Amino acid sequence: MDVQGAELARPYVEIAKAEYANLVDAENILGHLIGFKAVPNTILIDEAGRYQGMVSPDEAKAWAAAERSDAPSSSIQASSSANGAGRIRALEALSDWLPRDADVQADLAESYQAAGRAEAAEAAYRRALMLGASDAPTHFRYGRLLLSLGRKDEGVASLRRALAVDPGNYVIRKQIWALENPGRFYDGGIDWDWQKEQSQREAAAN
Amino acid sequence: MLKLLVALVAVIAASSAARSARAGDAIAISVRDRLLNLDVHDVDGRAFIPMTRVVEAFGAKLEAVGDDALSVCVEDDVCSIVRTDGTDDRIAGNGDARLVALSAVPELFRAHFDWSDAEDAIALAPGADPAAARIGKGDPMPDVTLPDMDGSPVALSDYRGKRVIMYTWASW
Repeated sequence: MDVQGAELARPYVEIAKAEYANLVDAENILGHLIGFKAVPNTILIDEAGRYQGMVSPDEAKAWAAAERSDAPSSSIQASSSANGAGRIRALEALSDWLPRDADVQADLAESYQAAGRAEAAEAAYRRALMLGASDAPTHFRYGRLLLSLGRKDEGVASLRRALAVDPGNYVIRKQIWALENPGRFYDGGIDWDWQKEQSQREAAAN
Repeated sequence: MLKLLVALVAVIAASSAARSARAGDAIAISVRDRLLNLDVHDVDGRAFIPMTRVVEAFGAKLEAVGDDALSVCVEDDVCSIVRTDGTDDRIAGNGDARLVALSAVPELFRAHFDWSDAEDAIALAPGADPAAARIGKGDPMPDVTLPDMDGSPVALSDYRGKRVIMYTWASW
């Protein structure tokens, strides 16, 4: 869960010598999907591809080890559209029919972004915002795009707009802290005392 | 005052016409491998399509709930309620002439927009949009795809049939 991408996470992955897949969710897709607003979390998905909640790591181990005689077959369908050309083509066609639909523009922006088409993504985000898109995920993803383009101030400003919509979201709040105060996070360890004080300062300011 | 009112109405009408450039055309949408050509109607600048044809295409059931609501069921236990008293901006019109907002079709019929290469047209695929839906316990997970540390995509469907534990953490 790192808006700044894989490189800041890599040292931790290497120390852990992880044997399982390590994935980078820079756009906070899981957070928006499941609704968590802080990390860490342990998410369970059963054999049938159904979300089974968030639990403690120990509960997850017990769940993984439990025998099941009635394991249902998977219902997860491989999606050609999730980040692919089909989704973009459909959204471009829909954009023609629904030119004032902010959601279509936001979805189109996200799809362009996932496809690495930054310029088209930025234009679509701008249209979405002009049409009234005001949800936290759109602001967050636009911020992530701007950060990836090296436009840190604009990116942080967009993350701040996301946080204004969803002030209880510490996935957003702490990433703003990390971007604005990298020395508190990446110079020899995380300064937890500073985070506590920062949280108190922001609570007092609101 | 009357002239001003007439002028204002004319401006609003012109604005509405500009927003409905595609109204009157037919949109081709593939549903369950069947290509539908649906007349597009302009309702307050938004694109609406005939609801009965969409209901038929999905094999959905449409039933009255009291005097001013309808249930739209794509499966026996997967239903949405729409109000027919004019307060629900997802539908317009009445009876066989009832229209549904194109943008509301995925939500009401539990589908998401995709592209059909075979039909070279917009398609409505079953299930929630992997990029948009908020899920609850017991709901099917969409096929989330994320890059690994080297940027290679990994899809949840790669783990089809297995129990999966996703542990989320961050460098911050």
